[in-house]
Amino acid sequence: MTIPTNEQQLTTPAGAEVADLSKAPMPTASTLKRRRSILFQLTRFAVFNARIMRMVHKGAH
Amino acid sequence: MKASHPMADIVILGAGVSGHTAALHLSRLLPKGHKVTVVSPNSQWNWIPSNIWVGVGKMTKKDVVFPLAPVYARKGIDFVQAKATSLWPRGDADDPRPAVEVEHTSDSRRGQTERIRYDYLVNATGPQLKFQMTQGLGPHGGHTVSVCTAEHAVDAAAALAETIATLKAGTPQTLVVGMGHGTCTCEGAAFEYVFNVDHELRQAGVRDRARLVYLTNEKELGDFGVGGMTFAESGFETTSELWTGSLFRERGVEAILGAHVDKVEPGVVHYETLDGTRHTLDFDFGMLLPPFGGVPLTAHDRDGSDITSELFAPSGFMKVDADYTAKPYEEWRAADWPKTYQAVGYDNIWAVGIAFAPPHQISRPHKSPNGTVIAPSPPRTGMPSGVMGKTAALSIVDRIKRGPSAPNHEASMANMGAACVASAGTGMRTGSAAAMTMMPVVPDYETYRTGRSLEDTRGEIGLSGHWVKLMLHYLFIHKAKGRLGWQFIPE
Repeated sequence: MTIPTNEQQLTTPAGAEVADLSKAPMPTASTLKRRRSILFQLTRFAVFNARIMRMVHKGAH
Repeated sequence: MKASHPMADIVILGAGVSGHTAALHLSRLLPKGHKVTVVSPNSQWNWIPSNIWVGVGKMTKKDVVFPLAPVYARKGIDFVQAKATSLWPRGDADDPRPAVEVEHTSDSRRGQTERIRYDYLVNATGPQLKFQMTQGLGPHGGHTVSVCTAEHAVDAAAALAETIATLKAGTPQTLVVGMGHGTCTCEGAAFEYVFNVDHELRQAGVRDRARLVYLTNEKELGDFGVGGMTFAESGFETTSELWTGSLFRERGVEAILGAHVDKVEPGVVHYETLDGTRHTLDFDFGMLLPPFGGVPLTAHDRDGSDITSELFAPSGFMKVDADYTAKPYEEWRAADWPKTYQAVGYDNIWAVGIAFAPPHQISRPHKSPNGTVIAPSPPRTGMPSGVMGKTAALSIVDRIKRGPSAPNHEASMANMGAACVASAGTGMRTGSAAAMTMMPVVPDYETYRTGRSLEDTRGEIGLSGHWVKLMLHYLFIHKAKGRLGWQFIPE
C-alpha cells in the first residue's frame, strides 16, 4: 500500500534555524472578523458540537 | 477463574481519564456484590487539558482537580491510594488467584505493600513522565517547566509571570515552548500552550519585546503526532500544515521543526535537527514536555520468575491485541491497531489509554544522519482514552453477566474520531481556539483516499473554539464527578 504524502510547504531554509512561514496563508480582514463575530461563532459552536456527536455515533463507541 | 468466584473482583490501575471512566461504568452496570477497586497513587482527579490554563495563570489548581475518595465512596467503588509495582497474573505461591502488588502512597500508609487479588484487571496506569531522558529537562532539578500535572502548571504560571514582569521592565526575553525529546507525544498540548502564552504576552502589552519559539519533533507543522490531516475548505483540499502555519505566521510565533532536544542547561537548549546539524537556543522561559513511557511494572509467574517481557513491550507499555510485527511504515495498516485492548495471553486483563503499546507510530518516523530517532509518538489521550476505558468496562460487564464466552467489545482508534481543541487565548468575547476534529484517529488509507473522512476531519479557528474548550472543561468535570446524567455525556 502506498501512503500518500503531501509535499512539505513550510521548510527550514539551509543555514536557517527556524522554518520559513512566508508560504502560510494569512487570514483576510473578513476572516479575522468572522472569527470574532458572536453571531457567526454561535453557529460554528453548534456545527462543531453536531460534528462531534456525529463522530461519536459513527465510531465504534 | 470466574466460575469459582461468582462475585467478581475487578481492579483498575490508574484513575486518569480511561481508568476513571472504566470504574464509573463498571459501578453503574454491575449488579451489587461485585467489587470494583481503583488503585491510583494520586488522591485527586485532574482534568489535564485545562492544565494549559493553569499554566498561564487563568485557572487555579483547584479549578482542575477534585478528590477521588468522595466520588468513589458515593459510587460504591473501593479506592486504594497506592502505586502498582508488580503483576502476578497466574497467582503466586500462596494463592492461585491473580494479584497485583501495590505500594501505598497516602500519608497514613506510605511505603506499606499489599497484594490485591483480582478476577479482572484494567491497566490504565497512564504515562511515566520521563524527564530523565533529556539531561536538564523538567521542573525536578532541571531548567524548564511543564504543564503535565496541575502542580507543574502552577509552577509554569509563576515562571511565566516572572518573565512577563521582566518584559514589562523593558528587557527582551526569549520564550521556548515545545517538545523536550525527539520521541515525545502530545504536540497538541505544546501547540496550545504556545498560543496561550502568546495571548498572555499580548494582554500584558509586551508581545513586541518577546521572541516566542515553538520547538518540536514534528517534521512539519500541523503533524500533531498523527501524520497531519487533509482538510476540505472552500471547495479545495488543504493541509493541516498550512492551516497551522497560518496561525504561527499571523501570531508571529517562530517554529523549529524536526528537533530532538538532548540537553538543557540553565538558559540554553541543545538540540539536533533532522539534517543532523546541532544547534543551541538561548531562552529565558522554557516549557518543554517530556517523552512518555509506561509506568515501571514488572510481571511474575507463580514461582516468582520474571515474565515482564511476556506482557509488556520494552517501552513499558502493555501488549494487547495489536499486530506488533516489525515492518516498514508503508506496510502499516489501520487493521494493525487493537480493537479490544485485551492483553496478550490473558483474557482477564485489558490495557487502555496510554498504557497499551501502540503497534507503530502514526506520524512517519524519521532518523537524522547521526541515527537519532526523531519521531512523534502516537497520541492516545482524551476522547480515545475514555472510549477505551468504557470498552474494557463493557467487556467485563458482559463477561460477568453472560459468562466467559461473551465476546469483547471493540473500539479501534482506526474507527474512532477525536476532537482536539487547542485554546489560543481565554475570555468569553476575546478568546480563541484552533479546533480540530479527525475521523478516524489512525488513518485508514484503504477506506479513505486521504486517510480520513473529509466530511469529519475539519479545522477551524475562532471564538467558538474557546467556548467548546470551556464547555468540555465543565462537562467532563461534571461527568468525572459522576453527577446527574454523567453517563449520557459521551466519552
